[in-house]
Amino acid sequence: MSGGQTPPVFLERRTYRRRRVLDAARVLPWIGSALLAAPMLWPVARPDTDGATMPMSHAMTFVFAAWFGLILLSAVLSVLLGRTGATDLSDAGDVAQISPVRPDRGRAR
Amino acid sequence: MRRNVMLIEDEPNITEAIRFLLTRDGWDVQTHADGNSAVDAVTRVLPDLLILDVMLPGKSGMDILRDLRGRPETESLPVLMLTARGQSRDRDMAEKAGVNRFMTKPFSNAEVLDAVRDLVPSPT
Amino acid sequence: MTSLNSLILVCLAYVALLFLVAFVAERLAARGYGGWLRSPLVYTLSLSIYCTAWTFYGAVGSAARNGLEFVTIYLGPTLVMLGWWMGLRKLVRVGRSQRVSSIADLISARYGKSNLLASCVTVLAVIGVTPYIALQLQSITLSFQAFVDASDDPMGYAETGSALWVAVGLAVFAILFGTRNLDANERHHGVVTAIALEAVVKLVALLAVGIFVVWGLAGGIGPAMAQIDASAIGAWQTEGSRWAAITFLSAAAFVCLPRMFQVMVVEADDERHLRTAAWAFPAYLMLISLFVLPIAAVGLTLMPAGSNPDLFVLTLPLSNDREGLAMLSFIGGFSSATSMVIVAAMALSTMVSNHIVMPLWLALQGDGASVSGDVRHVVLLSRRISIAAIMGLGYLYHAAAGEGVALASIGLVAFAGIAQILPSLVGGLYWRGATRAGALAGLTVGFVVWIYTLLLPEIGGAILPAGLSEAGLFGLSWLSPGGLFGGTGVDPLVSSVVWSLGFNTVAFIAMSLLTFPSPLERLQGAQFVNVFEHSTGPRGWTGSIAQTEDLMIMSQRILGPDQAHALFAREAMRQGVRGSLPEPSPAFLQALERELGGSVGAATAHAMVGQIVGGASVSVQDLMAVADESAQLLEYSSQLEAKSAELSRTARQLREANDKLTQVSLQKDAFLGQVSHELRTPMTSIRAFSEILRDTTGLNDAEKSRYGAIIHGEALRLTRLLDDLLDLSVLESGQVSLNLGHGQLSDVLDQAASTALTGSDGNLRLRRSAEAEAIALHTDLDRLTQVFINLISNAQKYCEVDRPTLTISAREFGSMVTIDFVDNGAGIPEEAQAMVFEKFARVGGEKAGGAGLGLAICREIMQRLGGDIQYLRGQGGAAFRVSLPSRDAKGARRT
Repeated sequence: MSGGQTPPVFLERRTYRRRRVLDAARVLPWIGSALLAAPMLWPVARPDTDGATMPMSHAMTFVFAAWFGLILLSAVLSVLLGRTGATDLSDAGDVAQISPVRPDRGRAR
Repeated sequence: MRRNVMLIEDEPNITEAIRFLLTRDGWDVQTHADGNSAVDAVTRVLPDLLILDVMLPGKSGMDILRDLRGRPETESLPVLMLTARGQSRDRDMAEKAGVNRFMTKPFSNAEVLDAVRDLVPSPT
Repeated sequence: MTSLNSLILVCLAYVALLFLVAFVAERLAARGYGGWLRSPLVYTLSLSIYCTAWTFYGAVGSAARNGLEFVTIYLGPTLVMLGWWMGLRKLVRVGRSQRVSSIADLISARYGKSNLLASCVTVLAVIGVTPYIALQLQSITLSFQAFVDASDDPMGYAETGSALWVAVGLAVFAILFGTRNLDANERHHGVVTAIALEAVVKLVALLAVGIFVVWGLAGGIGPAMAQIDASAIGAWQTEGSRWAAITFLSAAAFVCLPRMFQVMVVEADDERHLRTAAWAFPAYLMLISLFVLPIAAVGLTLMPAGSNPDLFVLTLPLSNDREGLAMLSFIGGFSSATSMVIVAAMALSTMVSNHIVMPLWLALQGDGASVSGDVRHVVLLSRRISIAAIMGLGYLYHAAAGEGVALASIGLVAFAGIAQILPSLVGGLYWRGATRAGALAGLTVGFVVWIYTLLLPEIGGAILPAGLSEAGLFGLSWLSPGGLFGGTGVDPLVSSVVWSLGFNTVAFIAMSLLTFPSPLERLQGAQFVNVFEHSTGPRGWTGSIAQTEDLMIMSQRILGPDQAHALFAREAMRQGVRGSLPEPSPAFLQALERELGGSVGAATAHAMVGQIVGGASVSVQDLMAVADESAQLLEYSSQLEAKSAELSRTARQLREANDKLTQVSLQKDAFLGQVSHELRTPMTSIRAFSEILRDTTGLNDAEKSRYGAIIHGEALRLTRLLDDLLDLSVLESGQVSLNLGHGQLSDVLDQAASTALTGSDGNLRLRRSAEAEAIALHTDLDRLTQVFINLISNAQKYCEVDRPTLTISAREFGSMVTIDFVDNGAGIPEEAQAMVFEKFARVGGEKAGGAGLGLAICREIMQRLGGDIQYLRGQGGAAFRVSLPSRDAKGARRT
């Protein structure tokens, strides 16, 4: 989470949930990138090679299935974020207080 | 020929004592009490020996000595200096200025006579 | 068969519908109705302008050539949306809290409101987007052509003419709905709603064609899949590098494209909409691409060889006599083209107008300060002219380039150009060290490499000298556009993306590290990077007193509470306002800015006051943060100052103490020297004469008695000296005890005169006045007598005239009694007057053998008695005035 402040040891269950949902939201694009990078490993059909090829129907099925899965995950996270009281879209923890800028602080996170 | 000594001293009793001593020892003694005109008196008389007090009215003995050492006619004039202040700094200053002998008051008469004879050896 | 006329009619009707929808939406929004206009759904649908005619027609064309590669164009944005929490959320928050009007404005705002940077981004955007607009015009004319080709209508159809009319129509729409408001930051509800409608239309159209193709032509999913595998694109054929490059490129373009920035950030009503769009927009993209591959495969199978795959979406229904479906498809394509062109023209015109036209206009006006309210019209006019000019450029490009270029390749070239903004944008959002010079360097380098490696070879074949693309610049093959640094054989697009963005990023980072940002840049950098820490969402500053309060709070932090209160109260009094908060009048703001400028520097003060009063582009919390920083700095430096002042004070004290010690030591030396001299002188005589008496034989009696007298006299002198020294030391140490008594001045003087004159051979005459001396005294009479004796003796010793006379005159005025002793001698020389009361000070020769302590003792005594003794000038002879308190006064100082 954002640095510089000491979070309480035990969080409210709701806040705890929310933080885990946010963790998931942060991880999701990386999962997506990994999934959608898979086609880079597939053999490429060239006129001069007779090696194994990837049937286009399979390729299409994989890509769209992955895509659909990601959309589904994103939708679930979106609903969870809405339900855990994310009326404000700020990071959990910096809702209540506004900390003054320290000039030497680098990136926020 | 009698030797000529000049005494520059503002204290009349001391002047009288030294004059008595040196006259009896066979010197021609001339005295001068004022610092300001002392250099003129010395260059006019050009004695064989100069006895100089440090604390003089008008011009101090140190200044008179420096002045005399800067003139060709008194450059090597033997000078005996007497002081009543008795501080080592004065001796240093006097030596720098070119004194031949430095004595602190009160002195013994024999010392003065020895010093004078030493500085101006008898021609015989 | 659909006639060309009916096609045009349909187009006009559709456009009329768009106008109607936009108009109604504007009216509803203006009346405060239509909450649904601000719903996440509308926001998500408006994002669909990402899918242009390039998507609608070009995706199928691309799929027919390269198989599944087309899908990368949609995977990039999908990934960006999935990562909205880390990326887009920040972009939207910054965009809204800074009230930016375009991507150029955002970049400029981040880097110290640099207009140079903004105009660079604008030029880049215009160069990158113009071909894209041409592409849309081309797709519309091509689709017309497809209908004409399919119909038997012999009616002539002038292709270029239709493109011109389309361009004019779109320009009119963009001008009507895109430039209604002066504030580019306000929402264009009409346009956004129309775009949302168009998004639905194109999705429905493409889905309808897809369903028709899969179930109507191919006979279901299974056969469709089999058909795909059997077609020319039946096997995977995309290189990994190209797959990754285009995915990345599309992700970058999704964020950087001016039209995307317009709908995503500028038109955003609520950043919470992102949460919905995070899954809804990827879903939209997936649905749009779902049937692309089947349509391409079936088209390749069914359509005659040589037909343009870019038009399969139209030609497949047409060739199967599905006119209604073809018409729907046509409208879908038309929607894609129009929505993109309208929003792109709006976004670009805002940039061109704000960052190129207006600065020029203001510069030409000369006196920028006198510009007043009528700037409104100038801004609107310039924006409208910009839209027309951009459409004109697009049309000209279309007319010049013709149809030789495949739709997809133009799109990718444009993407690569726009993506050059990415390093500056991301760096600006996440790295406080990014500077204006860095952004400029990165943009310039990336832009140049992009033009050389991609734009020129791809679309400007005629411009490049023959042989350059093979031989390379200066004949160096490793500098050839297609194979930069020996990358021959690599896909030119991949090579260009890697090199242009690589150099861009390196230049950006290196230059940022080397240069130092201006205060405004640093403030804005903190704003952008830490946007979540000090903004709770955008707030507008309305109400002048609210502004004054904020100014007050800020001023307190910088000037300190007292000074700030005084400043504001003074101004309130001057304005005649009740209470302590004045109106923020221009004069007051200027004064305040000057006041603050004294503390934090003019530039920062200007920025701070300007930000509070001039809009909400910086939140108050940020200003507070800066103010706190400044206050801490000020406090620290004033502490340092205090410390150094204290140090120098201490040093001065030490120096003074040292001086005093040195002086004391010198005085002590001098005193010891004096004492030594005064003691040794009589001792010299005593010793000399006693030795003469002892050693000399034959002294006569007169001589003996004379020398004995000298010895005696010098011995007395020594005794006197020792007495005086002891007396003085007792007086100086303050251990003397005064013996106070009552008496008459005349009695004291009588006694002193008799003591002083008795036994002396002097002929000093005293002139006294008995009446004047009838003054009662309460003092130490013995000490006073001692002073008088000293003065009379002095006159007796030093007054060297024939008839020495000492006049003693006493006077009493006020609480003081003064007694003057004036003789008729030569007096004391001027230069010695200051010294007469010092120890061992003697004037003239050693006449009477005094040690020179008499007057010093007199002064000590008189000061003990609460009076003083002074030398009087200009009285003829030597003149001393003794003063002491009279009997009625508080009396002598007891010690």
